[in-house]
Amino acid sequence: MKVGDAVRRLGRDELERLVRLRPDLGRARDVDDLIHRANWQGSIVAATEELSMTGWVTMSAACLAGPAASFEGIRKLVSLPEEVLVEGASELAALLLADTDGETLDLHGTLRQQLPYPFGLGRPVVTLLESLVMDDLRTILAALGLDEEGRKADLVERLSGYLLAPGRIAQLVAGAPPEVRALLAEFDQRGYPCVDAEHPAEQDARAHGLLVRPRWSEAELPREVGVALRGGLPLGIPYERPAAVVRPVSDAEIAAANADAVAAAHTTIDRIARIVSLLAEEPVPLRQDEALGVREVKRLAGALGRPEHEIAWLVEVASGLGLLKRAGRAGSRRLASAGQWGGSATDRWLELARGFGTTYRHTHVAGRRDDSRLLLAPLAHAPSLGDPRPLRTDVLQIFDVLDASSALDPASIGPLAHWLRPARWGSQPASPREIAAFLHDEMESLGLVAGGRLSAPFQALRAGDEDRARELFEGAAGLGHRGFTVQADATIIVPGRAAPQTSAKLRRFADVESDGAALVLRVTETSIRRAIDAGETAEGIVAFLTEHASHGLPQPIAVLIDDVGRRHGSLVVGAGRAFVRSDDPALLEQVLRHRKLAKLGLRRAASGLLVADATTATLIGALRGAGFLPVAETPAEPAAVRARRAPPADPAFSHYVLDEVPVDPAAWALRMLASAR
Amino acid sequence: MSGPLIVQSDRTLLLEVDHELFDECRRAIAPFAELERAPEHVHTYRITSLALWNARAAGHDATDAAEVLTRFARYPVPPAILVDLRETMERYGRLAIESDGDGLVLRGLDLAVLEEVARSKKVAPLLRERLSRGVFRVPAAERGRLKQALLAVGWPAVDTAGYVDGVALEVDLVESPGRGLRTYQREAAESFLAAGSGLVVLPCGSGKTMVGAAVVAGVKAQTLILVTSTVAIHQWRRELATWTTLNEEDIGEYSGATKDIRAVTIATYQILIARRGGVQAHLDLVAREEWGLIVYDEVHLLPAPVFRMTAEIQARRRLGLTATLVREDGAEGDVFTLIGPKRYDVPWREIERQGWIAPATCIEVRVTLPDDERMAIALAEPADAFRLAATTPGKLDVVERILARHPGDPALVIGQYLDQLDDLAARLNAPLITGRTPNPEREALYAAFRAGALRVLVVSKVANFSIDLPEASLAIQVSGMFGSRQEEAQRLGRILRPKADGRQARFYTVVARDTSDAEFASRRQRFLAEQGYGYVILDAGDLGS
Repeated sequence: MKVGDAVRRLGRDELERLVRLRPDLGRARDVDDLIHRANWQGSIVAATEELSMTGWVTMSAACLAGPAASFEGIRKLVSLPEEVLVEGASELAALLLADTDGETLDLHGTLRQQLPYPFGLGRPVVTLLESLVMDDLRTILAALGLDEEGRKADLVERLSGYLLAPGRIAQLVAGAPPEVRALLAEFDQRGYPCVDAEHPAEQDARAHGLLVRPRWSEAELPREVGVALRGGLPLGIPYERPAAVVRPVSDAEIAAANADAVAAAHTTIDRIARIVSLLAEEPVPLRQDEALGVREVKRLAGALGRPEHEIAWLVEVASGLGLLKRAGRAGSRRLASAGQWGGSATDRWLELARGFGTTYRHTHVAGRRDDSRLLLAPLAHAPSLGDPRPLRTDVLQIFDVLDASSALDPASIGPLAHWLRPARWGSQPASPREIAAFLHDEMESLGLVAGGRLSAPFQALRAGDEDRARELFEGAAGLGHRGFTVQADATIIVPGRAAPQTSAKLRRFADVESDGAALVLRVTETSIRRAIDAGETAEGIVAFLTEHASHGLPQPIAVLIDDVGRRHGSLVVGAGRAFVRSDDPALLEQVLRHRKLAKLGLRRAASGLLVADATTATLIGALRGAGFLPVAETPAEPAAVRARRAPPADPAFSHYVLDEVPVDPAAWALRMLASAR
Repeated sequence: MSGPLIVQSDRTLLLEVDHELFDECRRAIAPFAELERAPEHVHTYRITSLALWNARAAGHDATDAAEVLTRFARYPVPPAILVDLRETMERYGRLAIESDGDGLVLRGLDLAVLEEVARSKKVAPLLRERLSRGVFRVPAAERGRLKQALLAVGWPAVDTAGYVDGVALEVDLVESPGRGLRTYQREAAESFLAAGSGLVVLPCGSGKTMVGAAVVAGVKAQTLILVTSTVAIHQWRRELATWTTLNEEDIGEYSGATKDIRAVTIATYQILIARRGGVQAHLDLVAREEWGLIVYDEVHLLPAPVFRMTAEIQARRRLGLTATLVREDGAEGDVFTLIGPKRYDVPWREIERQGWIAPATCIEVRVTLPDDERMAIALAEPADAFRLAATTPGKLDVVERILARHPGDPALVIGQYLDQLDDLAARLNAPLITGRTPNPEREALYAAFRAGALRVLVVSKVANFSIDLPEASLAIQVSGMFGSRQEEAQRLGRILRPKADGRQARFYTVVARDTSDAEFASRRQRFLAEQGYGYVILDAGDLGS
């Protein structure tokens, strides 16, 4: 295929369509630049990611069939209706990935190189045999009862000639022992890259040319064997759009789901705010690669009472919003708060919701564990994962087609997304189901989805109606579960999503143990003390629990709360920067009432003891100024030390990026046409 | 969406007790989730990696587990949990410990995993020569430690090396209509026999010894039973003679007094770890005979040397029995890996509901200390402060008043400090059993108590375990070993045998208010609270005079 010729044939409408499908081409200055860009490998790979299943199947089949293959030849290979292939060819042509004259399909050469394993099939048997050493070839020849003499090329030719005889491979597969057939089937399904070369089943398969080990570390299933295992048809998956598993939902369910979404968003907002607050109090060291180390993640997890993987995700999101900054010199960087997270809860949610579509970080990767069970650190570089934004867009697109009274089973998102954009979802390091599951979890935590539907506030936001989104978000905030169960082991369980007010109240005097479909908290002496410190009363807590506990308040829990309330305040601690001590009560009384000393904040702490809010030096100076003759209890006054100036902090960093400036397709197409003349 | 189960993304499962599908769901999730706590309304299970691997070993796969969760879930199951289930379960089986005729080998069915573990600091020292790219030789004595290490690095091995049969033994269970194993005992024994090693967790008083007898009869091989005391030896002996076809002469006792090895030998942990001249001369009893089965009674008390020895005898079937798999040293994980995973576990209240243990009420009585005692405790060293609070004389009066509230109830007064127990015995005019009481005298006093000749026994911690006093229905705990949860549960267990007249059991704990005694008491109660035993808290003044 010659891209130059194809481009020069395009009319205005086709050019407009092209730049919509391949926005990166919008940077082209003129036709020559456009041709150059359209031939660039990166642009071609990006374009394949936009292919539908129809386009992808057509492309893979064309790749198998060879250059300028006829539709008939392709159709025989994949056994698909001609109209599907025609539609696929049209899609490929519109993307400048192939050229077609109506009878043949000619793929872009670069594209062919990018697809060594069409349909997940291995390389042709001849290619694989050529990679073997002579001894390996002779072993296979001997096992098949063929002549072992000759040069390598002769051996390869003899072997491939034997194996590629019509029906031969199918016959060898059918005649193989069950364990060998099972192994081959596993290779075909999983492309299992690393197995035991000494496994008897593998040795048997290799001896018969049904499996080839081109490198010691990898075994590969020859293409022809894969096709034979698939009953002669290379298309390993059924060409059938997976059904979206939907269920009807009532208005009440939708309202409850919206309340759940808003409650989840509040929870996430609270947690991010706590992380920002903790990092404002005490920045934490970053690793050399400027990611947050496992120890620090554990520390934050302990402080928030949340699992490490969730903390990793929250840190990613917080940094994405620009709420965190890297401070200090390179090599000894610390992660700090970039300042207050301002605005109302609704403002904050709007930031989160917008950020979901624009962050270029795979936020769900942080916190997962690698094959060695090590935590993947938040803020670590993950260059191989590509741009996650199109994945998110695909998921949203799947939700967009739901009607007003249906909900989608989250488990069907992965297969649907794979069908929608097979190249994009099939080339990820995790399966479509896994990625979809993580994205769905993330959307749930952000309040974008609940109960199998996009939440109403998020739908309004996507429709560009921010006022309506605000209204819906604030309107749903009062909903949710208010009742809960209190048990004798001091746990409190709120089934379903807790109403934000209930959740906030419980969190004041109980520690969260688990949060998700239900909220589980535990009342402890420390948690009650913390609440009373913050202004709650023991009586108030008991009254609240008694009112809302569906099975009543177990007596030991009421006693625990009463006990803490009774003991709270038995000791009083206050701040005093310096003190005045004297055995003369009258003198102390005089000091306490002296007008010149009023600004020192003097007060009686105990008999014979006053405390002041001033430093020792200030206090002594003021007392002397008022005519008293104090002595310092320490031998010398502290010397004034000039504080070392802290290094300037880096600005806040954000993963969220603005979308690329959109091109006006019509104007662009006209410019291209003009440059072609 | 009205199922009984709530699936949390942190791998916990909340199961509603009052739901009509509770029992069905409990049985369905048991293969892959550990029961963490079972309070009155909502039970908490956790899907641990170990539980998932055990489930995989038992033939369940991630699809089964996902189907169960989805079927019983009240709210949509977090998709990440399903992915996590599959990923975790797929880690099982990439490595296998096998027998190749010359001994044991570790075979890597996935070479990358084998390379990874072979380079691990925990695993490498346990492997010997590399027989081929995918196979390492493993010394037989390292089998247990290797399995432990592979678990620790997250790649559990399939162990297909099997168990030694041991010397065969003709033994059967003696059952007759109306007299036989209860359903849960049968299920427990069958769960164990299907697997070959592991733990059975059942409440005190629910008949764990019967499960042991059923397993002995199922394995039909020479058996070693390890117990906590000589009294427990005699109880096991009686039970085995009653419930199996074994005769008295088939059962040997291996203790400080007697060293008699028979087809079934019952030994104390103490004799195994006893040192003479710096040597643990009896520890090799575990390894030197051809045992086909080793039973660890009260496995939560397993001493460290027996742990180490157990690591080396992984070829023998091992059964651990306990009511409280709580180790204050946090070594529950070692129990799982060396003895085997939990094979059966039922919440205490569930057995109570079935009527096999007595319903119990737990009551904490708080004694307010006079100011002079409070000051004495405040001035004491921390180590003494707890003892002073726990032994406050005010408790003696409270014990008397509790006994007076329940006239006629056979009662145990249990404590930690001998001086306090001496005072109590004198004041109550009741006999005292401590570690110093000779065994024959102990047996005689227990027998008198069982026969109703004695109404009150004052006992030290020697009565914490394995003492069968079926008629005791009142226990008064005056002091204990700091915050020990298992001691609290075991002490309650002394009175849980169902009473002939359906009488309720009452467990009183007397604590000194606003002292470390009360703090420790609240920690001790956590296990029982998590089993659904809600304490009622009373002031000593509420008891009346």
